[in-house]
Amino acid sequence: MVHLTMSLPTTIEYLGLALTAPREYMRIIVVERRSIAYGFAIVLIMSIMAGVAIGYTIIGKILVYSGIPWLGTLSVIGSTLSMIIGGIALWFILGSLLHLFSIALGGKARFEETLNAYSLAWLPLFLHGFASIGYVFMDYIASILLCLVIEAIAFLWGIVLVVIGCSTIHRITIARSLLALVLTYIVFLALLFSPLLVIIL
Amino acid sequence: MEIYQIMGLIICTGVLLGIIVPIVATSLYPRKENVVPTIISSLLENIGTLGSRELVIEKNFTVKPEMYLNISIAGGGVDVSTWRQRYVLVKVYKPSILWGLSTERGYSGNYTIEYDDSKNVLYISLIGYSAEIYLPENLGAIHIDCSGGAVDLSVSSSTLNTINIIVSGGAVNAELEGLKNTNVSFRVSGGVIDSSLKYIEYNGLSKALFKISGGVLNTEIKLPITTKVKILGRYTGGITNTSIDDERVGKTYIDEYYDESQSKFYLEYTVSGGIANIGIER
Repeated sequence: MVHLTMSLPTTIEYLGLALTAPREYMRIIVVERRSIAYGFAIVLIMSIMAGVAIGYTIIGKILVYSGIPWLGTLSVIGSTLSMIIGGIALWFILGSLLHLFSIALGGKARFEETLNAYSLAWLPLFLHGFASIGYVFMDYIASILLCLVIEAIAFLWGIVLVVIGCSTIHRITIARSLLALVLTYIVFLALLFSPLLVIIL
Repeated sequence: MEIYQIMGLIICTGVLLGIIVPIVATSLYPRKENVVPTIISSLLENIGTLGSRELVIEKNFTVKPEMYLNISIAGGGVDVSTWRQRYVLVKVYKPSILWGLSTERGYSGNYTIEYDDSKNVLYISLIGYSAEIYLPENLGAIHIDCSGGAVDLSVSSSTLNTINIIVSGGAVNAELEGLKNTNVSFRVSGGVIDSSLKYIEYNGLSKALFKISGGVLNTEIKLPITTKVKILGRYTGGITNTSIDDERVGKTYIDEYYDESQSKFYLEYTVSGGIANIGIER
């Protein structure tokens, strides 16, 4: 009897492992002492893909409807690029905050490991890739609604992966890991909106 | 193959699709809207009558001409349509299976049906129930307040003088035909209104006032060819698209000879959030 086996590049296997068994995946990342470049690559690739999928389709359609013809394709490329740069900036800022709160709650991992764990939040964005077919052919209202649904699913899925990953590398409980992430988002939103509050008050 | 290997391949396929499909598609097809007709209408068409249900009550009322229909819905669904009869028929249903579970015990929804003969007003309030309402064509006014659930309104009436729809949640699909000098008011702060307003030849002024602070308003207005249009729009947020005969127009618009025209249509809209897509065709 012949058994057919298929060998996939390790990176593809690791990506699949990160989604199906994030705890095991993070253990491998820690043991192999993977550098920050590994997490950066995930964030970069996923941001490029989401940026192109959303920028070229939905933002392109909104611009057509908003009647800004002089901006044209340049603005679509611009919005795609801003999503990529914004994605990387978010990864670094939120990852840093998550590291601080994880350490404060008894975590023991290195900064690079936390950033690698936080890059897992970008993995479920691959859903936008499949939805991009819908973004292209649906009208703009329907494609925005679909995009919001996909974004919500990817966000929640990402939170689950990050909480498990962070709990594994920092060797803290899931509850503490979740608390660290919630505090991260609260502080980030407070920092984001504090200039607005100052202006309003 | 192991499950994580399959998942890895799925992720890579998703990434490749996400990069290739939009670039190839936008270079093959120029960016043009409504490549596929909106799916909102098709999603809303039968949303109020989805699932298994059982008839709770059936009532009919003999009403005076130009009746005022007042519907309040906070869950469930209502299907409103006109028919050639001179009386109103209301059927209320309870969902017998909800999310796969029987609702035999402990169902907490409620409904109210009241007809005030002196004011010629039919009040219908629904929470968690679904209803079918059949109305005579000589209606006077319709008021719908939807904070949840779904409303499917399909009305053909030339006597309607007021349509007022307020949506703070849920969805309303309104298809109104035979309109003449009708005052239309839509207010959306959440949820969706997807509507089609078809006017027939009329003299005088017809007004439409839209206020969107959240959610989605998608409206197609079909006017007689002789009707002149004036638009006054204000927007401080959200996304707005207003077009006349597929030509995009700005915040303000007025047809030549509007003031002298015998048939006028005045549209005023305020958008502070959400999405507004208003199309006028003649």
